[in-house]
Formats: sequence, C-alpha cells, structure tokens
Amino acid sequence: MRFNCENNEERRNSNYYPKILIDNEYDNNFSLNGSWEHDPFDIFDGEELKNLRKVDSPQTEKHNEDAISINASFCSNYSYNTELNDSFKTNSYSDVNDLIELVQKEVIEKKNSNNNNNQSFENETNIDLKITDFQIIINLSSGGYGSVDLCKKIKTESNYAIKTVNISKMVII
Amino acid sequence: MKKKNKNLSSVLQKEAEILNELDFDALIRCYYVFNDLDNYYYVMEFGGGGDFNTLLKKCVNTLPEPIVKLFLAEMILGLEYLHSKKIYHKDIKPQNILISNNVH
Repeated sequence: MRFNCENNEERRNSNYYPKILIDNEYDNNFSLNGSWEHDPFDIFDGEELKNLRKVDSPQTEKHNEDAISINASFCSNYSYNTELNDSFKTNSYSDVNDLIELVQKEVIEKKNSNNNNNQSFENETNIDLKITDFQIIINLSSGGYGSVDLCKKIKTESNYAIKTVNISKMVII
Repeated sequence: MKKKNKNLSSVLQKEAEILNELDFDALIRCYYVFNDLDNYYYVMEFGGGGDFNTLLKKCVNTLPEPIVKLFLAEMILGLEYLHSKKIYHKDIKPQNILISNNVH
C-alpha cells in the first residue's frame, strides 16, 4: 500500500482510507517512505472488515473500471514527458514550488519548440476571415452567451475551437 | 439599443485585444477574432482533452495524485501570468479549465 501524502494530517484526510484510524495504534506505523508497514485493515476482525470494505454495486464497479481505463490512458500519455514523469516517480513528496519550477521549465521548452508551428496562423491574421471559411465538425459546449464548436479550417484542414458569442444574448452589468 | 450594441462591441473588442496579448502555454491561445452582425467569433486553440469538469465526473476520487499536482501547478502558472498582466479571470471553474491532448 502506497501513500503519497506528506504528513499524517493529509493521510487522515485521504479519501482512500477510513478516518477511524486516527486514534489507533496503527497510526504510528506509517513509515517515512510513505508506505504502511502493516495493512491497516488487519486490526479488525472479519466481520468489521466486511463492514468497512464497502461492496460496490455493479454500476459503481463499471464506473470504477471506466475511471481506471481513463487513468491508464492518462498515464500512457503522461509518460511522454520523461523528465517530469521521472521526477514524480522518484520524488512523490515534491514541494509545489519545485513542481512549478519544473512545469515552468517545460513550458518554456515547449514554447520554443512550438514557436515555428504557430507562425502559420499568425501570418494569416491580415486576411479577413469569415465563418464560412470554417467547417463545423462538432458542438463542444453551449452556454448562456453562445457555443464552442470544433471547426476545421477548410483551406488548411487544421482544427480550431471556435467560441461563438451571440451579441443579442449578452448583458452588460 | 444602438448604444447597448456599441457598448457590447467595445467590451468584446477589448476582450479580443486582451486575448491577443496573451502568449503562455498554460493558457489557450486565441488566434483570431472576427464578427458578423449577430455574433463574435473567437478562433482558439483546440485542446482535444475536454474540460476538467468532465474529467472530474469520470474520475471521482481516482485521479492520480501526480496528475492533480501537475494540473494545479499549471493552473497556478496560468493565473500568475494573467495576474502579472493585471488581468483577472473572475470565472474560474472546472468547466473553464481545458485539457490538451498531451494532458496539459
């Protein structure tokens, strides 16, 4: 069992384990490397354990399976950035400031590498665009003021999200 | 009515100018803004990963901590950048946090 919580307070508030452990002798079994030396559920007898380990309904199980598959896809995508990923693996208690520094570094690198890619559209800003230059592929969301659609630019076949704001629906406070 | 439309246009125009000034990877880029009689159109970068609200609904209590940390760090960076430009979002909510294809 692994915990990525930095201190006891966080561990107690963790969603994964019941709060009944707070006043328990097992409270001190949390080792510095973030793992339990004993299974915290060992302290209960069979009946209590059954009550504590919530039996999921088929619907919840399906939901959990979906969530796990989403997480798996996340993790596979996530591994593309080895520097950041390795950092998380080796230093799961990393300070938020360290993390911000890492992300900042990555953002700068990404920005430098993307600079050339963004040029293509920026060069076209002198051209007057019309909504007819885009083909709507799918509606992403709708809100009070208008909608956001995924559109393909007919000329270049690149995808953009176009936010449409209906002037008549807008209210200025 | 004419005055109202004029006000709205100036507000939207100002928003377009602000969006055009922003150049930061943690923020969605706005490439171009144009309008017709009824609508204003903002041509923006397509994230591809959906919004954070949808993700939260799908992964209740199961989002891995490193990913949560990454999202938080990027949100803080984005907000820090906006605040450095004296821009205040005023509508931060999961629906307005978009995720890109490569989980950023």
